[in-house]
Amino acid sequence: MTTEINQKISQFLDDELDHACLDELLLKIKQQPELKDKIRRYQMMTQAMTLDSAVIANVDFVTNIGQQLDKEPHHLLPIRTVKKAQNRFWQKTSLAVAATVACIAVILSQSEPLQQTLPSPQLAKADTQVIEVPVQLASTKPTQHERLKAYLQAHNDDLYTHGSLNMQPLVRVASYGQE
Amino acid sequence: MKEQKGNNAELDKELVLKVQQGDKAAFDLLVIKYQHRIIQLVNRYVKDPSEAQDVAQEAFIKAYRALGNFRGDSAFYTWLYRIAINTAKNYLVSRSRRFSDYQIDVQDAEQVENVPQLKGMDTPEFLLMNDEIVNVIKVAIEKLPEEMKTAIMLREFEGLSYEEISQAMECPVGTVRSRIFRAREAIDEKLGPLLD
Repeated sequence: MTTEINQKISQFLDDELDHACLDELLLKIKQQPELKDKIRRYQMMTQAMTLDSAVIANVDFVTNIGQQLDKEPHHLLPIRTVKKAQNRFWQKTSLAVAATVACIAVILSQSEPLQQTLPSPQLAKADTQVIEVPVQLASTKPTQHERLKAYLQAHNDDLYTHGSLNMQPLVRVASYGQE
Repeated sequence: MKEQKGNNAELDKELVLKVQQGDKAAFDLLVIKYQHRIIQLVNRYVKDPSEAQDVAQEAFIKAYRALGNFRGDSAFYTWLYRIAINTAKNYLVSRSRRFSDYQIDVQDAEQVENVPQLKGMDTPEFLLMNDEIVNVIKVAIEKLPEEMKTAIMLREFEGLSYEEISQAMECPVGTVRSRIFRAREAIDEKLGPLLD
């Protein structure tokens, strides 16, 4: 078994190790840290043979590096992962905002006809006097429209400004308030 | 000169990926693989052996911290090489030392290592130890059976792949693999006691 793993070390240093065997080698090195010494000596041989000069690295060269890294833990976050996480965040946020806007739009659209159909107190008292109150509706309608318009435009701007990738706003205000 | 085979970059890339996923043992393997080359490189700038090792260690630590941003556009060693040179230069600047500014092209990383006058570690102790190690290895190679000696020399001196050696020696790749390994083991038997 030892011979087998030593042969893998030899292959690894010659860049001839199969990818499948790399995991096995890593596992063995974790289990038997003394294998690092074997790799170090093999490396030294190569150095000495090719350059007639043996660079003698400290025995604890690798250990020292490991200890220093342990003292200052550092979390590795590959850029691609971060970008994906950010994208997911914006996608979720955009969907939540869009859903909220859609709900508000539905509620507002349902509340308007109710106001129009509700009889005023004066009409309730006098059934015979049927008087429409277009003036009152005319005064409240633009206010609601203005608010809805502002809200939708803010939502629209937010989506485009923050540039959620591959996302289109569910409600896009191209020209609002035009008949 | 030892050639860089295509598989080399692939294996390194895989190890880097493992490090990025949090496998520190994979980083250890990269350190062990390149420690001698990096120490030798740093030694071009930092002449003191023990300082050179410290600077090389710092270079590896910087590399580890930056690995999250390594996208594999270049080979891992080329990337590490740049970090090591910058670390060595920064070290000298911080120590306000005067040093000759070698204009080393990053592309020439492999060639630089093989320049004969690289021996910066010229303390008497180092030279003595160095001579002894080189001598032991040479004697051990001379004592190897012919087919093992040929295999290890084609690998180390000519930089041939196992496949190329198998063609040159007219034997299966598996035999080449075994001969090179056994040659190393035989040399290691002589080298081990010297380093203990």
